[in-house]
Amino acid sequence: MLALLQVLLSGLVTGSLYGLLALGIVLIYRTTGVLNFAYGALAATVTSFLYVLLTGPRLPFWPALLLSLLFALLLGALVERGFARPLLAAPILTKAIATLALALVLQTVVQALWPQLTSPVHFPTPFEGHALHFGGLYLSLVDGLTLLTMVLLLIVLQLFLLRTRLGMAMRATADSLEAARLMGIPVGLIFLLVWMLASLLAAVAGILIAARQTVIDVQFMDPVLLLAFIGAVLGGLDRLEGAVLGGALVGLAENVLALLLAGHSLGALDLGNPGIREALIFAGFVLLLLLRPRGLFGGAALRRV
Amino acid sequence: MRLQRPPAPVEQRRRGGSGVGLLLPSVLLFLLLLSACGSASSSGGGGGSSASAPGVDADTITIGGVLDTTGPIKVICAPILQGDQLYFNQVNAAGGINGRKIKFIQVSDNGDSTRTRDAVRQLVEQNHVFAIFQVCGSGNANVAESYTVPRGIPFIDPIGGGSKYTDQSGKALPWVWMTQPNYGDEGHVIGYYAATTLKARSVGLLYEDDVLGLQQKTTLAEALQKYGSKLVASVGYNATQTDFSAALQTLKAAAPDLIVLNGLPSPTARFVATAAAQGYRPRLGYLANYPMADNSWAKVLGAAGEGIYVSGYTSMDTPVAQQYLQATRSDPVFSAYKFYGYINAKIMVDALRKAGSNPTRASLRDALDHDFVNYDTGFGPTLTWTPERHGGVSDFMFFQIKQGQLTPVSSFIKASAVWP
Repeated sequence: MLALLQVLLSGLVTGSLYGLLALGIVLIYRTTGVLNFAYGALAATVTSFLYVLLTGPRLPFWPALLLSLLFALLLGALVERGFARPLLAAPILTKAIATLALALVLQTVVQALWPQLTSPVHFPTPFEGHALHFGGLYLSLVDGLTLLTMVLLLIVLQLFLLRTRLGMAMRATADSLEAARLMGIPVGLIFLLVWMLASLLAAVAGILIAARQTVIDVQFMDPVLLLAFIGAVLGGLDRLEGAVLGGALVGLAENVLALLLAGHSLGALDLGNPGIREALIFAGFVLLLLLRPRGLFGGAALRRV
Repeated sequence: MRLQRPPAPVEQRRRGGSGVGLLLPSVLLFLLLLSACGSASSSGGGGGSSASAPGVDADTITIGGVLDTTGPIKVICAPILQGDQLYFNQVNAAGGINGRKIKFIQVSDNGDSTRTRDAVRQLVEQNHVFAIFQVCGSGNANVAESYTVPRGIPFIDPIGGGSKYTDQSGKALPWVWMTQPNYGDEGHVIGYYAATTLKARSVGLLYEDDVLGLQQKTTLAEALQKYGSKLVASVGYNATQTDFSAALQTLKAAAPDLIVLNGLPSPTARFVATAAAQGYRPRLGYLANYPMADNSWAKVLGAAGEGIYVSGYTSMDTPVAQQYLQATRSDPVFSAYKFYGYINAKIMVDALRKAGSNPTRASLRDALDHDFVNYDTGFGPTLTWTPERHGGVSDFMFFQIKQGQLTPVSSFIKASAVWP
């Protein structure tokens, strides 16, 4: 029972990280229509930048973190102006494929700038080795920070989108670009801000994942991104809270299935095999989409007639 | 000599995959969602019985290798290439082999096994190489073999513990010679060492869930049972797995004295980090298999790595290793992979020397099959190849991470001695 609780807790943390990434994916998709497959590379780039600050000039963690988050904002702005803006009118699939190219460009640049990250390196943080104990349950400090960060970010983001003029302008742009333009909303500025915000979210997620794994390389976000995308689709690509819940579900399912299936077999089929586990997750994902094509929490499709 | 920088055995299976490798399925997945919601024919290889050997002329022997210097496993393959070139340059500077200089042509398949066949074909059909020396990556090497073996092209040192050197019936592939050990033999030696030296009564195993990990799972369990211990739990993972909480809980529930870590540096380091974050460490700690036998892994682990045992198969306490250290004294850091290239280039050169003053592919095969009996590899273990046996070395030693450095704690143990 304790093992199950521990795994549920870990699954919740993992799911929160998927959810955090899914949040940024949905934010960009809803506002600019870009399915951003470079999102993991954005996160990895900023995390690599932080690693270099920590291990090169050996900056203290918190100033380095602050600089890295500022770098994330700058990177988001650069990507929007240099990449997303020229592709604004392109078909959605063209934009999606272009983000794949962007991911490769970012990875290549990181490798060229910081070749030490082509192989796994230790990611040092002040949280390492610290844990909270609840009875027999362990919650590492970084896991606790992840949960706290997730909750705070959700609250702040909701308040920002619902209560501020800028947030409302973002939502209006997401609902209808033309209507937003007619209303005098500077949609160019909104796009820029959305990319900066999403880049910031990616950076936070990347840094938390790196702190949790304690090991990074230039591609460390790739396997995580795929699961975050599943979370985003599962939650419905048009709901921020859906993205978070979708991500959390994926993380929980991944962990609980791994624990429950370990050591079990079905005839000659080893259910503890990670390939079987992943197949089950994907099969469940497809089944859910068959039943609810717009995701678990997605809104109803509107069709104008 | 105190070994401060034990060279790593080389593990060349592809790591998590390139960004494209993982992102492309994502794209395809989304395309799906959005819509609903050579075989080569060659005559260039020449048979093994060819009298005039391709790639050999009056003053040059041309050999070729496929080593990723542009893709995801370049971190391993590129330094191996440097080690190769270092040794070949030394030999050429000393006059070459029977008056012929070695010309080593390297092409990169970007670490992508779907490109390996074209890379090998290029070497054979366009560059007319005499033999293939090294293809980096188990899967890549296996693809290369499907081209070289039917054409009778010698292929020395497929890099990767999962490279095939026997057919399905266990018979040696006639044109492939391995130098690395296989994970099956290593499983026997690890089981022996864990049970008899570390006195582990119960052992857990975290293994990469592919044919390599499964092979070691079987042999580890066999050896543990033979020497009075027991494999009490085993959990597979895949190379891209990032969350090890459930794996940890499953192993922890079996309360093993020791956990054996099989696979690749990154995932095994993540497992150790997860365990450390949850305040868990088995009574005797961990024992990792040879892909982790490099100080870079110890560095990745940080403080959590202290005291971990690691299996390995190379020693620096040899004349060849000292020669290498002398030749690379200006290198900023020791590279185990570069050393791997250096010592395997030596094996290749020795094979070419033994193939005679006018080498043919047949004479090279003859030399490899008959003149490598208890051959001194230069990195510790001896190597024996016969027409029936083309496998690599099978001696292992153990290290322990002490103050962030792999430090030897055993002498070599022969796999055949613990599992005859």
